[in-house]
Amino acid sequence: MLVESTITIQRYLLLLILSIIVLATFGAALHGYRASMSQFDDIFDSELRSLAQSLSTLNVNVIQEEQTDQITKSEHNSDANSFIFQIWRNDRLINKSPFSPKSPLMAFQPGFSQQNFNGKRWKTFSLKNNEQWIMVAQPIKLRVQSAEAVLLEAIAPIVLAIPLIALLVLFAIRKSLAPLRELSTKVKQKSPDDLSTISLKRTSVELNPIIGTLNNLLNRMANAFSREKRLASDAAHELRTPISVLNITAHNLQHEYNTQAIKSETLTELQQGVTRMAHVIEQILLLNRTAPEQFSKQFEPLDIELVLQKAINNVYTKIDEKQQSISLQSESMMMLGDEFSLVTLFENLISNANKYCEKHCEIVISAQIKPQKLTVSVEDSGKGLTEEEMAKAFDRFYRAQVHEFNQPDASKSVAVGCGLGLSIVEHIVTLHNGSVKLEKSSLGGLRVITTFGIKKSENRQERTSNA
Amino acid sequence: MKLLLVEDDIPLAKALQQSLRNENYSVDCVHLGKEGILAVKTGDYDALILDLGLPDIDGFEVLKSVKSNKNNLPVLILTARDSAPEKVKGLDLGADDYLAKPFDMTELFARLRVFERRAGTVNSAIIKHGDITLDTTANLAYIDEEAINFSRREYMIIKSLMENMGRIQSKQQLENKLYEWGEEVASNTIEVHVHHVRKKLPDNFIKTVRGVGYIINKV
Repeated sequence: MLVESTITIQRYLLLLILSIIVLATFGAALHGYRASMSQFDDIFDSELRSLAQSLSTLNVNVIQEEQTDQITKSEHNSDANSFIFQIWRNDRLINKSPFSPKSPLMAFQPGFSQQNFNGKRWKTFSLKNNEQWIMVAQPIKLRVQSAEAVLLEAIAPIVLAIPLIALLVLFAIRKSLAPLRELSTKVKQKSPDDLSTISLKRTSVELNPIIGTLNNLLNRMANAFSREKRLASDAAHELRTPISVLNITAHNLQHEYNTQAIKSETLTELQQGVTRMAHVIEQILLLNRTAPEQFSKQFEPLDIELVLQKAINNVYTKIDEKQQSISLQSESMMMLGDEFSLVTLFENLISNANKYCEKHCEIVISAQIKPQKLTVSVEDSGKGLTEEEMAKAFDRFYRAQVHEFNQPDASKSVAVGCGLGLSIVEHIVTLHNGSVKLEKSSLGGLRVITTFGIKKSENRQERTSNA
Repeated sequence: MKLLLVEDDIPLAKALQQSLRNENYSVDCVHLGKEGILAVKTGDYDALILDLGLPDIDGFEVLKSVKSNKNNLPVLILTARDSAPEKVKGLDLGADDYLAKPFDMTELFARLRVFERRAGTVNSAIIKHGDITLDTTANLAYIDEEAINFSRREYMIIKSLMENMGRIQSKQQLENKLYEWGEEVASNTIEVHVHHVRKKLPDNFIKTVRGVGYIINKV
């Protein structure tokens, strides 16, 4: 079983993409911060150095301690971040910037160092020039502040844009997930007995195989269901009437038994009822047994002439009874098909001709190969069908009107099938990827033409292998 | 009682007709809807048994036509279709009863007896008049518990008269009820039958109304 997932793809994608954006932004910020820090370090260091060098070249006056004190006091609060410097000569402070302490800023060693004084951390630089030590210092905080200011300016638009980006990403995700959402809604809305196919307004290459497979499955299920339904309705409709006949005949027999006058006619009726029932069941099963997908797998090469001879053989007794003449015009021709169902097909056609034609009629069966096609036609010299009847002929349970119907001895006419004959013919022809049509025969009656596609090579091959 | 059977399935129609005859009904049978409509227009039937699945026109069309022509003709629908909407449609179109195939003949007979009672003047399957009792379920008549041996047609006459007690049954009506299409009827046939029936019954049980027909008076 699948574990019910509560996270939607949409939410998942949104969270993932936003996290990546935020992480990337902060990664970039961090890197930018470090980079600008080292840049600023370089810039400020060289500033310090050049300041020290400029100071060293100046001819600096010795200032009085009082002066320096005064300046220190009066301007104590101005520009806390600016440079400070000291100039020492022979261990004596000869000049300094206003806020500089009086003690040396650092040990008398040249180069950069970091020191703490005046409550701050400073970057210092000193150089020695002719007995004179120049010491300059700058608060480190200044560098940090500058770096932060630059960084903030760079990162702020991105950070501010994140909600907007989130909205755009959400929109993009929704847009690209729309087909999936539509599919999901459609599948969800399907009622259990709705087997119609699904189509989406917009779809995508990724979804196409899913929809295709789903629709394929739905179609196959619908076919299977309709086949099942058809079987049920065929069974219901076509079995009920013969069952009724059996039922009533049994009832009549009971009556005749009670009155001690059992008629052999009633027994014959019973026998005919049972035969008819068996026939109907056989036909219904045949009509419903085969699913087209599976059917073609069992095809084998057949000689159509033999098939037709077999079919004629099976119905010959009935033809002989009505003293009809039958002839076959064919030669050995190969096609791929299922023997049993093809024999049934032609048996049905011939037996239709036999049923609906009067005595002494002529029935002609002919088979011929046209390029890529094998045509078998069954025609008779009977009364044929009107165009209206031809249109209706393939309906299930349609039975052509037999002209003896109105005569008192109509019951003698055995020309009553179950009305499934042509339905079965059509079904079998379809299973063989063929077609069937009705037309007027030159003999005067009906001509049923069945056409099957054959591959020329296939036929030739089979012939040679046969020979 | 004279029935019209509209059923396209010939073996079924044949068996049904035989069965109904055995039950002392006379039955005319047609196999097409259009013939059924015509037969109802021209013939005189007490009930119509109609199959819905007909080859030429739909059984419902026959039903509509019948009900617009002879509204009071009871119609019993027979069908192999079994969906509820079909049933409802049939009944709404005016069918009086409905039987789904396969059905039991005894059920069909019982439903036909309902039609008979509805059309006649009595309202029970067992009709009593004086010493005579007619059991329409068993198709038997008794005088004081003792069965009377009627022939099929004699029984049909006494049944028709007793079911319509107090109403005159004309010779034409009786003839129509007793005989199917194709059966030879001599001009005095009914009189002969009535004569035989009378011999087996108490005097004056069946009265002749001269020039009109026969009647069993209500008590």
